[in-house]
Amino acid sequence: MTRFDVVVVGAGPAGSAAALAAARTGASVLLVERGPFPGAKNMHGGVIHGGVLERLIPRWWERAPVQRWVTRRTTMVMTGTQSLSLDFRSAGWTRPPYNGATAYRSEFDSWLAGEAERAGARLVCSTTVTGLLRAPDGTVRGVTTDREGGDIEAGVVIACDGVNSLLTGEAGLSAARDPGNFALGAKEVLALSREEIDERFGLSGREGAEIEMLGCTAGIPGGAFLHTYLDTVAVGVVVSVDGLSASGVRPEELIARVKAHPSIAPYLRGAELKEYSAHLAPQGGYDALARLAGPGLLVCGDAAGLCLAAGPWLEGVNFAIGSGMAAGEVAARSVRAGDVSTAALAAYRNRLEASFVLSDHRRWREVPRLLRSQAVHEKYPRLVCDAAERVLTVPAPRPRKGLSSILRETAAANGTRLRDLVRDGWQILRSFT
Amino acid sequence: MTIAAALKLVDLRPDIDPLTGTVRLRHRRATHTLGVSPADMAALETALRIGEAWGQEVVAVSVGPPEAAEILRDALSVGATRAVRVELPTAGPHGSAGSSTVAAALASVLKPAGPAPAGVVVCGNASTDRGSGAVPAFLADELGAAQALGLVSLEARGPDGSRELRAVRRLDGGRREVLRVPTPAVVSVEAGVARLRRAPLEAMLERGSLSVETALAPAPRDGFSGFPQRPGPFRPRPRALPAPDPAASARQRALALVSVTMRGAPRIVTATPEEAAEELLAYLRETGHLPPDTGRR
Amino acid sequence: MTMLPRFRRRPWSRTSAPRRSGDETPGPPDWPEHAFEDRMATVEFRVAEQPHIVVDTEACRSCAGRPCIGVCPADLFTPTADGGMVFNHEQCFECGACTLVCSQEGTISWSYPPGGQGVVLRWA
Repeated sequence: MTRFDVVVVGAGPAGSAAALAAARTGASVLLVERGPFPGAKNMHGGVIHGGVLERLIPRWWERAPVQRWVTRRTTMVMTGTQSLSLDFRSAGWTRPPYNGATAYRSEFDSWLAGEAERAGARLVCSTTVTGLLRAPDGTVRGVTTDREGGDIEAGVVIACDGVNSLLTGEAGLSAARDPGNFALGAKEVLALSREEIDERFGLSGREGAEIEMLGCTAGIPGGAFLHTYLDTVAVGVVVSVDGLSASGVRPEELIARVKAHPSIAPYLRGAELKEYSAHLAPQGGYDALARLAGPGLLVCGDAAGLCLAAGPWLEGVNFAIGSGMAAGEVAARSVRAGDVSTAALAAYRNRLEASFVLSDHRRWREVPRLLRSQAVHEKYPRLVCDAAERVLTVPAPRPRKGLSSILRETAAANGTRLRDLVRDGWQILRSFT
Repeated sequence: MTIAAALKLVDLRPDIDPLTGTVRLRHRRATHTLGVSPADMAALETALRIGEAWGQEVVAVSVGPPEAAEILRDALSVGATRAVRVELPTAGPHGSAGSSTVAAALASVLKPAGPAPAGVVVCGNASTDRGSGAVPAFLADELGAAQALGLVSLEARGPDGSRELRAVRRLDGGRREVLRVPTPAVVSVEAGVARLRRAPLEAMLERGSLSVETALAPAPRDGFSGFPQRPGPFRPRPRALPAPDPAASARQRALALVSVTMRGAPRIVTATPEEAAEELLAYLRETGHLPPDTGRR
Repeated sequence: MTMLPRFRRRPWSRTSAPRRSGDETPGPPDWPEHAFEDRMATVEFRVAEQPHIVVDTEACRSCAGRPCIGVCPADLFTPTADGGMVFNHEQCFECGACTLVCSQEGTISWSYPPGGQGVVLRWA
């Protein structure tokens, strides 16, 4: 049987980062991917926050297959007919080290896996890992694959097999699979000419726009997004699976609603559908993480539940890369030291706790629960939009009203008590800070 | 006697303009969409099976750009013993070339005096990128080999277990034709003939070290190899219709021009193959499918 | 693979009813912009011979909610007139939403298709 020091399952950002980090230390590394190429099975909201890559690949932005650099970020609160936007642009985001980048996962993941290969890792595609090989004491000793002669021995196995991680389940490390802890992302990629995109979104060169929308998901907890690529635009929704199931609205109908919204439709006029896709994302946050290590096994990225999904905001690739790097280094070190017990591999969790990966999750611990409340994604958008409309509408010939009375009246018309509003506002503020 | 599989690198998911039907190249180059068609995969599997049954080497050949080395490496990992990529320097943009040129390039490698002489060449029925399935026919001509094209089944053993190629070919009207194919032979198979086996893990691990030979195709005989570049989308050439009988009524004349049912009853010709071919060509010229002056072969 | 064109099971549903006149939610048009088959035709699926998801349709007969039907983004669950369920694995995104919402443990046995098979996303 072939043996590798480290076998990484799944060549997404987590897996490729783990393979790259482990191969850098001189370990023999195998990266197994079930798709015909890395990224074939992957989907994301559209934006990669690659700051963490700098530690792994200096000046990564010169090499990564980035479509556009996000220089304009708009947060839109909307109802069926209204929208209120907070539109932020920064010249600072147009220069290295940048903030966010839009990229196709088929290109980005293939590139990152290629970097791991260049560092010495072996990549095998079109191969599904079917299970774990275990020693009599339960320590993971390798993996089985669906190819002939497909058993592979490993010092440490790193499970980066995504949100539906079968390996984490087999090892008994996964958290409860409660539909409330997962979000379904569905998106359409639409083709428009590059000039048209530049014009409609007010961009030039490689500048890109990102719009996050709250209040347009038919009352289902979640949000919607719009991202610009060079000559395509991605529009999609991220909604809680339990909410979607209870609502009876289909995912593609939700996308159609977003596209038909008067604030979004003009951006997309005449665009042609290139690809429709759907994927799950973990959204349970810190309290719904899988156990990150077992004997001979480490878990990274979506497989571990490392993803921050808060309404329209969705961050996962940075946590995947961050956790993968830590796992790769810890795995290689443990194999060298000859101790792959859970206690030895606990160094992985400690490193994540000390890094942004788990500290961000801890900081936003309460956010998933908060954003799943009915008020936040349906009542408050309406309240905000109605209030804005009343403030901004010139009432002549009737006399103007004061801001506080407008707020009070709008809240009453929306069935919201100001007291609840203040309390929720305080909670939101506290959980984000 | 070596068994060869001829594979073509194609774009499996071309970006097609829904209005005109042309392939767009405006979007990013889809490196991940290049591969071989299901028919070519079936051809490779068929070649491997014949090779196993007869105890012969299998060589995978492809005429194409350097990217084609990848598909040949795939062929090596599933069990081909050799792989040869034929570089066609005169190919048009995106590696396009006429069927006869591609066949000549393949033949330069597979002919008895070539670097990989082959007794049986298995091709896919037709490539997915507007393929006409003509390359195997041209190749059989180049090699002076027997041809059996568009097969739905191919066995390497006769009923008595002897080493023999038995093929089943699809005919019109649901009929089938069972052929015993002599060697040397060029055969082309449909996608449903066989499903390509998967490479064992060990072969996948060694994939990077597999080497693909490269051969240079001879200069094309008629001086050009690419398809004539069309500025616009493909349109069939207009068909020349005989003028309707002026003595007929207006309705009859209109029907003669527009109706498909008025084109005369089907004709059954019993003749020698040469005469039948002439008859067919004459008919195609008459109906405008061929230009009237095709003096060339 | 050929699938018979299927009519949408329900018209565009509007969950939030208009609250007052002049505030009609415009919503999407009354007909979908793309036929669902056209939408799915934009995605490449390398169909495996064996299904990677097997649904125990007997269990579906006793299931009242059938949340899988509405949640599956590829619309692969089709109820039959006799109360059963037809599942077609060929256009599966391998997202896993069906197993999450399925009310009865073990009804949907879920795995990944063989290496190299299944959905291939390029623009996602």
